[in-house]
Amino acid sequence: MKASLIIFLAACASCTANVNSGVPAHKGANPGASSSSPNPGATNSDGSPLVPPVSSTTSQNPSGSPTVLGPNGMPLTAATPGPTALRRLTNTEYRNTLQDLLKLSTPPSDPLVPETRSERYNNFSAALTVAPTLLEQYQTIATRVAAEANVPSLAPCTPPAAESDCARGFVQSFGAQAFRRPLTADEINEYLALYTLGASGATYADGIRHALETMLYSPQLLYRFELGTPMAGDRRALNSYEIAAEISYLFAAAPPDAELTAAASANALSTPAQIEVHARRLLAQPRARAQLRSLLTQWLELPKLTDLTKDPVLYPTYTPSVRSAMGAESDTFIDSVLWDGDAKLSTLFTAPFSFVNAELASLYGMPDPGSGAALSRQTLNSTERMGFLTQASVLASHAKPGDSAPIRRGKFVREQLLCQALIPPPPTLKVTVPPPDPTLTTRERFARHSSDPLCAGCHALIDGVGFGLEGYDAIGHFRTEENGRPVDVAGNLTGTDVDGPYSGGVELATKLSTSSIAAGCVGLQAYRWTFGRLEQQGESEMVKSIVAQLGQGQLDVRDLVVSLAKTDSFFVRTQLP
Amino acid sequence: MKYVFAQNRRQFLLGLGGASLALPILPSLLRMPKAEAQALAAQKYFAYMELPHGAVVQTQAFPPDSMATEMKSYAGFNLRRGVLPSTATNGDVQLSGVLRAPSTLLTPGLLAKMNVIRGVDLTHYPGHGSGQSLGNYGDIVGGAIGDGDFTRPTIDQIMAWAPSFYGSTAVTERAIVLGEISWANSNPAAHTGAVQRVSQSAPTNVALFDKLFGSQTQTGSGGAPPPPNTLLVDKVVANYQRLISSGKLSSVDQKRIDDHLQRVFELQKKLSQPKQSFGTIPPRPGTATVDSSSDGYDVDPAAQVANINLWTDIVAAAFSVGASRIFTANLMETFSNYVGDWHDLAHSSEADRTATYVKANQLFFSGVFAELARKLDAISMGDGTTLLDASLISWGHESGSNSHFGTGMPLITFGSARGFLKTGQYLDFRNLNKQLINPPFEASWHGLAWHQWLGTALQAVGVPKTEYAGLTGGSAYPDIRPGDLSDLLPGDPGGRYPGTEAPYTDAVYAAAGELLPWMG
Repeated sequence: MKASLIIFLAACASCTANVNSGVPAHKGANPGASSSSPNPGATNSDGSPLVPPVSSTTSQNPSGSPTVLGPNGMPLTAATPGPTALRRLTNTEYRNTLQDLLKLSTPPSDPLVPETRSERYNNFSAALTVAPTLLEQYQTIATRVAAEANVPSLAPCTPPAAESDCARGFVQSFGAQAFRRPLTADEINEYLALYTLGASGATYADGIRHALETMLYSPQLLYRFELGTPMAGDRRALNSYEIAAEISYLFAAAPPDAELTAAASANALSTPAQIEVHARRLLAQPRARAQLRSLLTQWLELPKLTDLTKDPVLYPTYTPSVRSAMGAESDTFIDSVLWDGDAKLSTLFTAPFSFVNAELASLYGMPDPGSGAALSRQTLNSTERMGFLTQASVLASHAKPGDSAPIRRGKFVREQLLCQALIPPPPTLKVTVPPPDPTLTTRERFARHSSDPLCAGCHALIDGVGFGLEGYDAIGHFRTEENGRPVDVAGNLTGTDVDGPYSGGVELATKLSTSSIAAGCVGLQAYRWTFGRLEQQGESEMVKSIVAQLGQGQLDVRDLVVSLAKTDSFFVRTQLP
Repeated sequence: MKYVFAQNRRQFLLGLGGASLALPILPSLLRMPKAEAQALAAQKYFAYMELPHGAVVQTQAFPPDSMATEMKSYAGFNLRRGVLPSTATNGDVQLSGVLRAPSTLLTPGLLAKMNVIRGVDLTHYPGHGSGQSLGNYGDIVGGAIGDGDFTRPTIDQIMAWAPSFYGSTAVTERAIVLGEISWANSNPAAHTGAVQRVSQSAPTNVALFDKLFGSQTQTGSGGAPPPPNTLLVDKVVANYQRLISSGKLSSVDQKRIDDHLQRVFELQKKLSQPKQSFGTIPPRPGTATVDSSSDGYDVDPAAQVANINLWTDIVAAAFSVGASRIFTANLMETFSNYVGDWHDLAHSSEADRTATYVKANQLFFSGVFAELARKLDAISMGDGTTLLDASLISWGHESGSNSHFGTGMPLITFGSARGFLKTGQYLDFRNLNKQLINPPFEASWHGLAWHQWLGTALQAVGVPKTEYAGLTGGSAYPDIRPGDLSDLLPGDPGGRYPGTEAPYTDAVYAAAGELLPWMG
């Protein structure tokens, strides 16, 4: 067992009193962010719920929060808007941006340093810095794509038009796309000077390429600006171009298209209704699929599947192709529910179908669907599997190389699916880990921790969840026996709004599908992904409100993101020192 | 002879595959003009090459115990050393099953510059990851030593940004990186910002050549020279500075842009540095397109050796003209014609894996690592010494003699870093009182901490403790002391000796701040 597990176990001594109430602690991802107030419904020694049911209030204006007017006189009510920020483009956003700007058939595939994840997401602005290698990669790519740019297409110039006039037109139009706003007069002149320098002694195309390359390397392209203009106090209202970029990168991971740019130019992105029009329009486009898939797979921590290794002696069937199929299953399943189905959260939890190929079918103990390596939609054995929680990708990603890691799975459910954060252990607590024992099941090995008074507090929260998933081994294979002994899949949820005993992963998924806490958690996770930061004070309440309005577990995930884009947080920022 | 130029396989798996360019061996590069040699007189060089998995049985990885004839007490137990013999048998010098090479390559002179080190351990669970043997414990699959943030810059990047290493000296590539092994702060010069993986320096060896020495193919339309890059960077810098002075940025974003700007300055420095200042730029060799994505490459050890040697040709050239003085590589090549899964083989029984792994490692030693030493030793510094004498080049493994064990890690070095290190030795740092016996795994022993090797390497190339954060006291690196529990995979037997004393005592960690014994 790893010390990572030890650390979590070691939290037991004091964690009952320190379990957060579903409003995760701010961990510094947004310097200056204020901490959430303790939730009065946090766990008590008498066992009362950790998290109260989500409020049914429809108010998005918490008591006492400042009400300020937006740029168009609209009241803006977010209690504490997120900070102004320069948000470095993610690698996908950068590649899509270049594809759109240069009218490429596919995004550039040049290598880019992978994003650093924060809170499991790859788009938290605080974590998106520019390492030396990444800067060189930007420079290399800019140089390459500029050299290969189709100048006649990007900057047509046919006599009798003067090349200098054509260049000016290019700088203005291309620059506006690259910077996602009109260029200032000074900027136009500067880029024209670059054009002139590049064309000097060379050609019009060389000059265009020189100006273009410089734009591709500029901060205005590499960062999304969310700086806004002054409002009352420390509030800043994003301008229409900043909002256009916000919408576009949210739903398409790409710069604003012509319609969004026109709306920004007409200052027609200042109301939730105006936002929704463009959000719905972009949702209908292919890139939105990848975006929402990205949200959900990051929420479930599936990117770790890429490098996930298992003990080959214990799990010889866990091959690279099986691992790949696991990821593809989840991707296809999410796409199917979101775009071919009802897009409901409850369906993601409880769908009776999934997508398997021959290898996955073998892993799942299902008949070969006859599709070879291709995935095929199949009805699941309803006593063994249901929804994403029992998919091999999720189960394997939250297991250890050599065992099912019930504590890790319990932690995943608590933290990611219920947004109940557990406090790290005191550093002085020494924990003895249960040694491997071929005569015991994993549950039996770990059961001792539950009975240790030092650990019992947290294990009452963790084990009841994790042990219920013991019907699946470290690669997600369904099992009824381990080491020749029957596997006990009895679980028990506490501290939730769906408390009570259950048996196995299917029943756990069913319970969670009806939990307003789980629904609120999905809202919170989507919020973090939408804004690339942790929630600020008051925002989690706002998210709960939205989730309640959308029907809790019956919420449509697409509607959820659209709703988040209509909140005050989308329009306003706080200027930090 | 056909040379294959495969990209790093992880890169290839990321979708960067395709044809790349062939580059012939570059003997013309392996010369150092006298003037350049004098200019580089005080500088040192570092290289580290890592093979995945370890899993080389100790009886074949190390010389026989009888070679260690001297003993001394250190850190609470006895260590042993001996002199590397140069006796050749049937044309080969053979120190062990792995450490075998033709006597024409492993000459007495080269052996005198070599160290074979045994008994320096990763004191944590060595899962698969990148850079752990260079000091980053935070990127280990499965979590190695907890969920805390144990991500650290690797020592190659500490060297690369240490004021004492390059200082104001012009350099094209601070560290040449091949594969996934190198990590640095987002602002490495200031040691601030998130620690991120440093990408491979170039996708192919030809691209690396162009990056280091410049492509001769860049021209504008009609043969006109391309616009100068320095102006491009100057323009961007002005742009960023205008943003900083706008007054609209928070202190956080100000810092973000400051860091970015530092990177721009660094890049500008590289772009504006006249290549001629390094001396004679070797001519760009002719190229021919080959298919590097062929499946055959994975099971063609000769092609793999040839490919990596072409990388090290360029490294040697870069070292020789000062374009870079650091090279790190995590090689995914197997150096074997084994057609099965290399990872699985590493995890298989000792009997199953030994012959294949020993053969592959012997090929790497003889065909690549010792060959790099030979190349550097062939470059005169003009003062009677060679580039190898100014270097510390080293070969390590991802884990020890059993895969995922931190014990039994082979460590081979060449070069004295300008006389800083003593060489020509077999150094056995095992604590023979602390033996792990866990059948069916081969027995191994706890020894000194890998921290001590990393600190020794940093000191050897002239980086003082004040320029990195290591364990308190001395020069050990990194600043993480894993617990005494050797944290093995569930299902594996316990990973520590059965005694009650900690496998790695306070005395071992205290000693980790010193140079490795007998090396100073």
